[in-house]
Amino acid sequence: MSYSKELLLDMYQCLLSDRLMEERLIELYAQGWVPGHIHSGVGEEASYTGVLATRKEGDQFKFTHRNVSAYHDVGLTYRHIFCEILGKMGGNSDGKGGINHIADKGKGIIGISGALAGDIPISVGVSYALKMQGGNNIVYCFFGDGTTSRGTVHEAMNWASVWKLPILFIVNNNQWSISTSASEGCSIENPGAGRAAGYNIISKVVDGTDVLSVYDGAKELTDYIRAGNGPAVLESKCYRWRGHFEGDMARYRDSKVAEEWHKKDCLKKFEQYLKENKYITDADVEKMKIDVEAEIQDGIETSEKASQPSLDTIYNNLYV
Amino acid sequence: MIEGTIAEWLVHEGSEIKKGEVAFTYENEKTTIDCECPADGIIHIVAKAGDIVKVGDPVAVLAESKEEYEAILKNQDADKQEKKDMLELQKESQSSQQGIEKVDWEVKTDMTTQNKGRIRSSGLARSIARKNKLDLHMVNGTGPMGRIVAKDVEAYLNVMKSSGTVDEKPVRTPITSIRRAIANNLRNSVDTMVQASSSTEFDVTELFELRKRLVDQKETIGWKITINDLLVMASVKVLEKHPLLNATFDGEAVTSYPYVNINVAVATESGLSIPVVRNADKMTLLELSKVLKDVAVRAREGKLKPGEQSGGSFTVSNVGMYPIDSGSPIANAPQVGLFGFGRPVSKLAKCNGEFCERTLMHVMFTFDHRVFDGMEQGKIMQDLQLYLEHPELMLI
Amino acid sequence: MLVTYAQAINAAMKEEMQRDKKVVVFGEDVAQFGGIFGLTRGLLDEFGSDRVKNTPVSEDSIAGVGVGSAIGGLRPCIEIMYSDFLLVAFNEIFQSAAKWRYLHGPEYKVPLVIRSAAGSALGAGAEHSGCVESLFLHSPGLTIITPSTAYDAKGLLKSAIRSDNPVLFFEQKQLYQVKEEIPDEEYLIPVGVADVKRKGTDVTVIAIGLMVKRSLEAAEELKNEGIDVEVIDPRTIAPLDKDTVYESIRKTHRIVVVEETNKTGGLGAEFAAMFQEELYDELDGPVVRVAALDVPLPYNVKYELASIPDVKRIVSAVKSLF
Repeated sequence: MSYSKELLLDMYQCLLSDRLMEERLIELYAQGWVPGHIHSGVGEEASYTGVLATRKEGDQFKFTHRNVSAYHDVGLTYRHIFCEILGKMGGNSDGKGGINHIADKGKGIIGISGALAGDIPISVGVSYALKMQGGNNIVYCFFGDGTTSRGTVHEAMNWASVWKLPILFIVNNNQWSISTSASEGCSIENPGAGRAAGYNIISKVVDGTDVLSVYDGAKELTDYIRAGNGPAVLESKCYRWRGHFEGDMARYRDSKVAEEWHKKDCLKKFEQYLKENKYITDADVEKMKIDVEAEIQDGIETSEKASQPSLDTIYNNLYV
Repeated sequence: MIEGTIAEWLVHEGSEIKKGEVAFTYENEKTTIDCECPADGIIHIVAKAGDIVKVGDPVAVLAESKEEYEAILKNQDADKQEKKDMLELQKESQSSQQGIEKVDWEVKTDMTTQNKGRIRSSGLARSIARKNKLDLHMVNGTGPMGRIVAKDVEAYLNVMKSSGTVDEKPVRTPITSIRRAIANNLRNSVDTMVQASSSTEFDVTELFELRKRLVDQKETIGWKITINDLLVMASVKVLEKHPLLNATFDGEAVTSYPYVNINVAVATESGLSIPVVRNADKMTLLELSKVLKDVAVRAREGKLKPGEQSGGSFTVSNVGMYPIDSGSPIANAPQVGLFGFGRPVSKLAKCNGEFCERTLMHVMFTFDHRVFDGMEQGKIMQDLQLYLEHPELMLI
Repeated sequence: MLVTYAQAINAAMKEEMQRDKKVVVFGEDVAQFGGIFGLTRGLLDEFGSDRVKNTPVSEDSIAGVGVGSAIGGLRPCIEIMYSDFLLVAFNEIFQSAAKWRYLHGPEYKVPLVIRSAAGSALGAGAEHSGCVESLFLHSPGLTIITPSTAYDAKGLLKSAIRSDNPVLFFEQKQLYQVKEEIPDEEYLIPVGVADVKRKGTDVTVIAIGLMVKRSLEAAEELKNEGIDVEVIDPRTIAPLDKDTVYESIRKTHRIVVVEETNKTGGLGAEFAAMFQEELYDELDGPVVRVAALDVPLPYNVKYELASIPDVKRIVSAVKSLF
């Protein structure tokens, strides 16, 4: 597949931003800055970036508790994201949702169910609404390998297949659901793609450490979906570098395996590819880093200064 | 499903129909259902569209031949009479069942909260009573389990209104903590002691004479001695002579004290106060008088210190300023006795063989009969009489 | 026109689907078959297979897809066959439908109606006869409607479909075939407004669903004994129309709650707690509950009839206050 320079640089920009953000979240958590939990997706950014590079105006997105940096890829500002993480004014829910419910309807965010997989049928519902609108927009529904064992995932895949709905299920297979390995939770090799077969859904397994591999798979499947063929499953194989959440030292697993996966760093691999092919220079990278860090810093500072919600609005938004 | 409604007949009366043909539709609690004919035959419709039919009741009869159909038409009236209405049957069986079987759905009200001084009343009844400053104790409850309900309160208020006493109703005021303490002490005295009282009239003319002379010399003394001072002093003298009286009793042993700590009853706004004058037996009349004045003033002002009312070995109470001659005062448990002094009255009395005007006073003596009897009581009263009638003795 | 409760509901969906293309209907067997109770009959023919759809047997997802399609801009009016099966979809309703807007912000709306058949059907057994309304009272964000007449059912369903909030619409199986005269012309009944079904002065009976009918019958019996009963149907049990209910309590000072739900943790439990807490000084006796026995509804009809409040029990409960 050939790629335009613009696409490659966009993907790099997103990959770099997400990496810096995921790393920064770890740091902020360690400093006691975050009220809730941080599920760092550092090392898994390509699963999001590669897929999201295929999106179009009007598409809808269902993200997860991990890799909240992906919200920035679809246009949410760091100011918004950090205000929501801190539960302050300036996010989307005025302190009621928090890190699991970062959202912006205008940017196509569907939202998240804190009970994992509760939002998979909801994503299918959104895809039905998209289909009813006409056009070729689709839903990007991200979830992890652990979530694939929830019943609603199966109901939803089956349903989407029967109704031929425009939805891409992206199974970010980082191989761990908290301390349970993928093979402990599911006896087939590919918990996403392997199960899709049972619902007559096409699927692809891609290398989640290679953003181009992810992009290629996603491009093929989204083209297929946009053409009105119904849903597809993309399974992206990567590895959860950190514990389930910050504070989980992941002592239940072999650290040597983790080290091996660290060598397959999606950001470094892509950076090397771009440099080798003369798309970017070290200086470009440095400059991009400085800009992204400044934007993240601005988001953090803004959220710190943002006001607390007023208690008299605690009942707001319960009913329309 | 226990019954259904015939929605529509799709075949006509008397028509020949085939097995599997939809004969009619019916509605049950859920939906409308097509009913297929179970066999070939000529149909006689029993239940019309709109009829409600119990499960098991016939909706139609299928005749195998024309003759059978005719026969069915003929017999249908007789048939009708024979059959009891299924609905009635069910009703009967249900009511008979209900006669012997009972489902436990009655609300169980807690009957164990018997009226331990609590009033059983509804929130509304309380609310109305509160607004009308009415004591619910006055109202008789006629609601379930004798609960006072709104109409009881209203009825009471109406009666009060018509009898014009609504504004003159009794006032119930909870007692103060001081009054409660007094009440408890008195209750305790009566409950724990076997109290007996006697009362004797003494001639206190000489006592009043002595007092007059002391008052006349107040410049010299620098202090005004009162009758009360002399009565207390006389009591102290008697107590010195009678260790059994200057004592407490706990039901097992009598404890006599080597000193006289005397409680003096003082009436105050908030109730009776009984400050103690310690070591009264070591005091001169002047010293005793000054201490008595000090504690009386402070008792009236409510400024007694904690402990100043306890540790007494005997109590005196003087009600002579009121028109009270005699009574039966309550002793201050665990003390074994108390002197009460009535009002002084001028009377004709025999003195040196003649009737002349004298000042007489009743002295009440309450004592714990468990500790001593009439004889000891008599000796004590003799000694008290001695001091009261010869007051100069107490100055020795 | 004279219609059954079921026909009134069907007409409401039809009218709203004609009025607004965004209204869609899906659920198990709602298309060609028209629903097992026949409530969606004729909709497929009139509105086509994009808007009237059968679903897999996946109640969890029926609710979830309902929430999603509502977020996505449709106005789904979906069917979960028996209200007992709402529990299969509990997470999607209790967590997602109810909380989505609160958690994600005011840009998000969930204009979803979940219709479901509730209550005794004489011999349908424990998992096809339940009344689970009270379980959902515990989830702020939900609207719960329990119509007791054809007139109310039609007017309320139309309003529910137009509401931007998630609505649980409990239909009474034993009322489906009850006929009633309703206006020919279009009408709406606002969500959240109770209806005084019978005026009275001595005692307020708050009755839900099928129990409204029985309470009205009980009221007639009690009239002969000199007790004048006011019967109120809240129609919407969440949020409750406290104004109407409280006005009645302030007048009668006695209250009985009649429901088909199990007594423990039922609607009456919540209402009684609310009334004694907020209106203690108005109550001239305890808040009395008349509810289903605390058993899974047994299959045997004799058992079933004994489990659910009947006129006799309502009469007896009211009399206990005098």
